Amino acid sequence: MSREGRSAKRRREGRRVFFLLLPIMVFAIAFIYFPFIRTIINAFSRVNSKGIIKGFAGLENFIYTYSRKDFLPALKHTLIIAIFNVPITLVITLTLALLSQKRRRLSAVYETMFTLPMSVSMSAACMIFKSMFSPSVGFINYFFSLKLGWFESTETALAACIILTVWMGIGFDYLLLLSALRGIPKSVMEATEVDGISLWRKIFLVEIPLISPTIFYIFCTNLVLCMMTSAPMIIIMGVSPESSATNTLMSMMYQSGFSSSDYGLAAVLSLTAFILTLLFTILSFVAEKRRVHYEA
Amino acid sequence: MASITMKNLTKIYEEREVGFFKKKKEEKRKDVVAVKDFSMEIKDREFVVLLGPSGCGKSTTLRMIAGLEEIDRGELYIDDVLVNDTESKDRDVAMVFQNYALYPHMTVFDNMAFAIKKRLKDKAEVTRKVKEAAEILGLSQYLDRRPRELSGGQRQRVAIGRAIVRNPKVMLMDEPLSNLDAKLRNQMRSELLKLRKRIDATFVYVTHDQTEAMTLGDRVVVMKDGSIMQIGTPDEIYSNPRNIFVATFIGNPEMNIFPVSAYRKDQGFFISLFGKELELGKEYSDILEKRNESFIPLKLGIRPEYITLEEQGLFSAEITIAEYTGNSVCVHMVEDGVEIVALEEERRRVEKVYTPESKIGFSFSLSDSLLFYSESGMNIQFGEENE
Amino acid sequence: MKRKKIDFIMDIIVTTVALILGFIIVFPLIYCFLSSFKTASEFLEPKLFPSSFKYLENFKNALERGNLVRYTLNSFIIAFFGSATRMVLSILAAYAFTFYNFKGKNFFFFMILGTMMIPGDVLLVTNYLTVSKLHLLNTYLGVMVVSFVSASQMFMLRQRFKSIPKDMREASSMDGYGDLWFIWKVLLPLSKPVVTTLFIQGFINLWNAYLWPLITTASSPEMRTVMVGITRLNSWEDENYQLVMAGVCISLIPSFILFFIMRRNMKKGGLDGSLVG
Repeated sequence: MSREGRSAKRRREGRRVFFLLLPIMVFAIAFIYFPFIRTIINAFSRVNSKGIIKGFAGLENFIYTYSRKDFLPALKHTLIIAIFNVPITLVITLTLALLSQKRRRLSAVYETMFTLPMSVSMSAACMIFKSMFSPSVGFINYFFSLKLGWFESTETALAACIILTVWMGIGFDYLLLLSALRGIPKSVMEATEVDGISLWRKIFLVEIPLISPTIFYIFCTNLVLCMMTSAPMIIIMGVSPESSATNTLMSMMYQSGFSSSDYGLAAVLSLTAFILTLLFTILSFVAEKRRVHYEA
Repeated sequence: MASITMKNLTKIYEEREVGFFKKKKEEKRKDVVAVKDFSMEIKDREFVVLLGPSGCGKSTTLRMIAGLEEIDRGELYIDDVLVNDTESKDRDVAMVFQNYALYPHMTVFDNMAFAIKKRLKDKAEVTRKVKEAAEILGLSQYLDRRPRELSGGQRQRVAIGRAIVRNPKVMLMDEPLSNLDAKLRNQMRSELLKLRKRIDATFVYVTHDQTEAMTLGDRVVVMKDGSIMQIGTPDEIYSNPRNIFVATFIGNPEMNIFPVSAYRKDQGFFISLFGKELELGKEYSDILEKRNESFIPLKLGIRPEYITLEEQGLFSAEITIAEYTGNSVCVHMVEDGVEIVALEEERRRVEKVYTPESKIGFSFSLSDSLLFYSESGMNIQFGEENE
Repeated sequence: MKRKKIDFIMDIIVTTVALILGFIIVFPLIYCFLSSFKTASEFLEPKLFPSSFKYLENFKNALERGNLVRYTLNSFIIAFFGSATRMVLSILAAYAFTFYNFKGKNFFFFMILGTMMIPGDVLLVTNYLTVSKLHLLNTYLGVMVVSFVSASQMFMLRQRFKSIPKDMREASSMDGYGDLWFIWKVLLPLSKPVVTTLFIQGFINLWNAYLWPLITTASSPEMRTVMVGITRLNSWEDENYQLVMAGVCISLIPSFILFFIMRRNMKKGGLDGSLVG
């Protein structure tokens, strides 16, 4: 008798929980976990041009991918973007956040200016930068009196791409840093006043260590975003086998998946980018353990 | 019409280790018994107060009646219908929560109306009922306000109003006055007494405050560690507590407890206290006689208000401190290393001054005192066994 | 006195520097706006300002020839229903995680949070195959279906729900209200700032999406979203940038409006910066 009472209520609640969680779980499995596993399986299989698995391939796809002559450049470009973008973004957004930390009369104006890029879409930004960097009619060449064919050589194209991606990231990262800085307890800042610490020491020895969790968070998310860069290549350069001069891992994946229906190659590239990202993130977490200050 | 019958209600909490995945079988479960074999019959329209220190299981019992907590063992009947498996919305019970649980975004009117809208589709009827309840509680002019615009006492009334508009068979109240300040609490307490007469429901009321319990309850259930210590009218609980726990929990200042031994001598039983030998009356010696022992360790309990301070007292002690509270004075004394507390009404004090470290005489009558078995803590008039 | 003066001068210097930096940051947008009023010949001489703001042909052409009217409508439908569905799923899950105790709660919770570990781009190809197998290519549902799950949104909602006293739900369930009623009548009104902010964030995300809409609507031009549409306004042969800039301006209008609403909302709800992801 008694135990039945218990299970009646449990059953009722269990049924409710089931229906509450069912929708999100269905979509999480169907469009995140299933494709993820499928990507791993595809990487080790022979997949035909319709996406159907034709048998186990072992490491064939990996060997094929890594020995292609356009793989290493794509990897190199991806890493270059990450190596430049992450620190540049951090320095810029940190500077902006420190500048605007104190509330002043025009705070709202420049805060809005700094955060505005947040709302701009990747494709809109690409079109604007494509136009600004246009060799013939672009404003950049005109203003700085340059004669660069920005998107025509690998180096300048990557530079333009880094400028673009940094610009895209400024708004959100700035906002995070600003609220972290403003979240530092007043008493801490007052203590530095009383102790008469100089401005630079205050910034580097007090404020930055205190907001290091946010800095670390931005570092990691930007790293992931950079490793996944593909839209500028696809939109600005256009994807074709000839444009491989500025390919990244993900734009190469896009090209192999949708232009040439080479799903094995696409899966290996996806997986490679994912594993590299994961590896970097883990490494950052290991390093973070020693450096980042969390308040108890 | 609503009687409540509880048979061996038991609630066990499994303290689960929060693991990433399923709990491992071999992990030791730490089961905490919150309520153990709670049995009681509550009559229709009775006002029962569950009283006890925090963590004694009184709220859990209430929540089991409400249907918010599943019953692990035992049976719960409302009007002789077994409701163990009935969802709380179908039990026809209403509850006033400790923190009121008012919806902050709704007006007072909407808060009360929300409680009945689900059952009552007739809008005019809803309005009528809410207005009626507001009238009873003196909330009529606040119907358009939101909870945060109200004082603590008014919020409390809204919480009660939300329960009474439902016109439930059973009204449950979980420490409803504990968030109010002392003065407001006294006022709300007497209002609850008046309110009770106008509402046709059975009340179960949880509190840790003995004054509330004594003034409101037809019967009081004293609980400790999930078990019932005593069920009785306020008077029974005060004057004839079942064991030392109830005796000391009820009453302020606490009852004095002195360790004594009863021994047989010349056809009767005697105890010795502070060097004096006292003969126990017949009502005690008859009980002790049955034990057939010549030496019984006991505890003697005497309420501070039954101790008289007088120069020619039977006993004497040294005053340690005297606390004046206006209408009475509480005198702390010590004798043989035992602390004694006496409560004297101020008007009887006349010109006595209680100087610390001075000697004072006191006496009390054995007929005012209670005897408990030393081992079990039970009042000897109730037998030997503790729960 | 002296210190006040120094502070005052510092404020002016910092404000000026900040405004200059702010100007540089928004410059691409200013450039875009100004360029959209230029005629084709004006654009060839790379000056910043157009000769007048009366030349609206670019906007007209973008909307008509570039079919941006249709694309904008597509984007609206996708962003609205996509973020609404996402919101519903997140609310239901967050509600279950806040107000219920059940077996495997932690497992399901971390399973949903775990989706944050997998970047969407990695799944592009396999999701494409799934969607095409479900015959959802070139449909609105196909474009939004991959955005229905947002772990961070679910997490934020749960944080908010946790601050709502549990006895409020107990009170409503004793009055006979079920889960959905409680969510609709109590939980949502009490979580309005968070819900609107998250909804707007979701809307902007879907509105701005590029790669996924591009591949799922590749074979049906009229199903394109506005973000795909603006990249098709020119080509290497016909650069036509003034037209593109007009299209970009149009595509940015809803984002900007929502951006400002969201900023206000976040300040009001005290959520500044607490919204991560």
